[in-house]
Amino acid sequence: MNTVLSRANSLFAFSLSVMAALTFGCFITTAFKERSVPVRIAVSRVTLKNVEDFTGPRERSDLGFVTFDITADLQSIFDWNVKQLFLYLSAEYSTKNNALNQVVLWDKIMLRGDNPRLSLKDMKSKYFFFDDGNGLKGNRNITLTLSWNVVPNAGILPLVTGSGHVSVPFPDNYETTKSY
Amino acid sequence: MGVLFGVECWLDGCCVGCRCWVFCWERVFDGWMFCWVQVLGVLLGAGVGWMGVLLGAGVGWMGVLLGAGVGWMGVLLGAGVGWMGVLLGAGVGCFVGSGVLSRVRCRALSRERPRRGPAPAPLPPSRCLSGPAPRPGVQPRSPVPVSSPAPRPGVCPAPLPVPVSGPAPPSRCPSLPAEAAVTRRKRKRERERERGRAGAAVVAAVAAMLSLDFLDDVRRMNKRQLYYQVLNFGMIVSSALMIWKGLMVVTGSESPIVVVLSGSMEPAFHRGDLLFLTNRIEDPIRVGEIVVFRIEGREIPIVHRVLKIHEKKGSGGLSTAQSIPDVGTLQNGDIKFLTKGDNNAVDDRGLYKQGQHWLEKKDVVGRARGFVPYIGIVTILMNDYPKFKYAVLFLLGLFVLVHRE
Repeated sequence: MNTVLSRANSLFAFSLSVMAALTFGCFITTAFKERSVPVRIAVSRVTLKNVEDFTGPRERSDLGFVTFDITADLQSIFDWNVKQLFLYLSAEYSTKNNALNQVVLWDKIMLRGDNPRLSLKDMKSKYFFFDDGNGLKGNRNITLTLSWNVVPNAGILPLVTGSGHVSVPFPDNYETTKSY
Repeated sequence: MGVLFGVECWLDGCCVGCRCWVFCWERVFDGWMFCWVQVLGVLLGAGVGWMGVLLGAGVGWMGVLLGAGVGWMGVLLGAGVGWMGVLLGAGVGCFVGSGVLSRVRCRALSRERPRRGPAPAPLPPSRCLSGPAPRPGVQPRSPVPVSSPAPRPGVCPAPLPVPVSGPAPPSRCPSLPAEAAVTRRKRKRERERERGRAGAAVVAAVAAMLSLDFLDDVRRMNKRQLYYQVLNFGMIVSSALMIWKGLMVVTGSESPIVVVLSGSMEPAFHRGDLLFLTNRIEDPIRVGEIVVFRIEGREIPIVHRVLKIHEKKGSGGLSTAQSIPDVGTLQNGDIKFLTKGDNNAVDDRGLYKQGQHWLEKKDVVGRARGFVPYIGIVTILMNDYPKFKYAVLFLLGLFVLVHRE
């Protein structure tokens, strides 16, 4: 320890190891935490159209419009190792051609410090709900769930689904409104 | 239970595909990246194994046999298990062949050494002319047998080889006979200290810098120590490679750790963050996951989030996340998906190839499962400023050279 260089070297090495230990500590203390909370989703309107898919392959596909409400309290998920929550509302259903379809209708980034209580009414979907084909018409069972991706300061990136989902049937005809 | 452990390889053009299973865990490896990795692994393993042999040869026959045997066992075993085994076996072989066996040889030699009295003082050349004549019958006590007769006064005998009684030169093992227990312990400590050195670029830089003053200890190293340093370096390189390839195997992804290069996923990931990826076949791609994918024709992978998936009804397809995949058929049914960066306003169809609307499993490098912030900045700096990379390596080598610890 008799030169500036060796002192700087040990200081640097020590601080690196301390930071590494801290990061690992952050990770290990929150790795096995339960991050699911109850969620309430309600659907007020479902409309169905059949148009050419302008967002992708130019085929006539079913286009759905869903108006929904979400209520959730995500306060308990935020802790010292959560940087943000990426919330997304996804619709899951199966059709004649496809065994499984999942489409994200709406998403939101909730940073630490933002209001964790979600209380949204009459939200319109952010993204176009196009099906790969014409499978939405007359589909009895389309399940909407709210999930979130927990982005930590350091550690695992889990995908958690909120407990509470809603299933809606789609109308049998196009351009029809179904009110609930 | 069927076969507990097995490997089955096939040749596909110039590439080798392998399928190996241990108990219930099965994985199929194929593709061009495993061709050159296997070749490289065998060469590296064989090379490191032979380095052990050579070093063992310096230590003695036992060293040669054991080093060669273990080294080659490693190569053969490795060829059956894969490159990982090659490196592990050869690395273990060369460690055994050099480090441990040199100690065995040391101990063996010191036990063989015959009892010898204190070495006689060196005869000054003037004594035979002016000094008293040695009595006939008395042989000078020296380890070398004297073939010439007793010297007559006035005539200088043939010069006897003078036994060295000064301090023993700093060599590793007693190839020289005169060695006390004290020096042995000192040398053991020295050896331990040297092993703690980070080897690496030292040897390469040595040749260029031998003229400098502060490299006295490097100049004092003899050939065996140099071999040992090179071997150490070889082991470090091979263990680093092993760890990386082992991670590749465990995660199933060809690049298990990636650095985020762009800001399209802010505020979740910033430039310079590290992501840990997995690409297991049993986990199908679902909406909301962060995937790292590569577009055909572009080499830089992109980190974005899945927006939409459509999974076809396949023969081995999954209709729900709980069904057990059929091994051997397409694990994911036939999933096509669309991605979008969190910080982008539109989805990625503008980024895909002309006419491509969906991504498939084959484009995926991996799914992001873990995240560490800021660490990747070093990689970005080294990529953007290659001079910085060389400067860091040079300074590292210089630092290791100057300080023994």
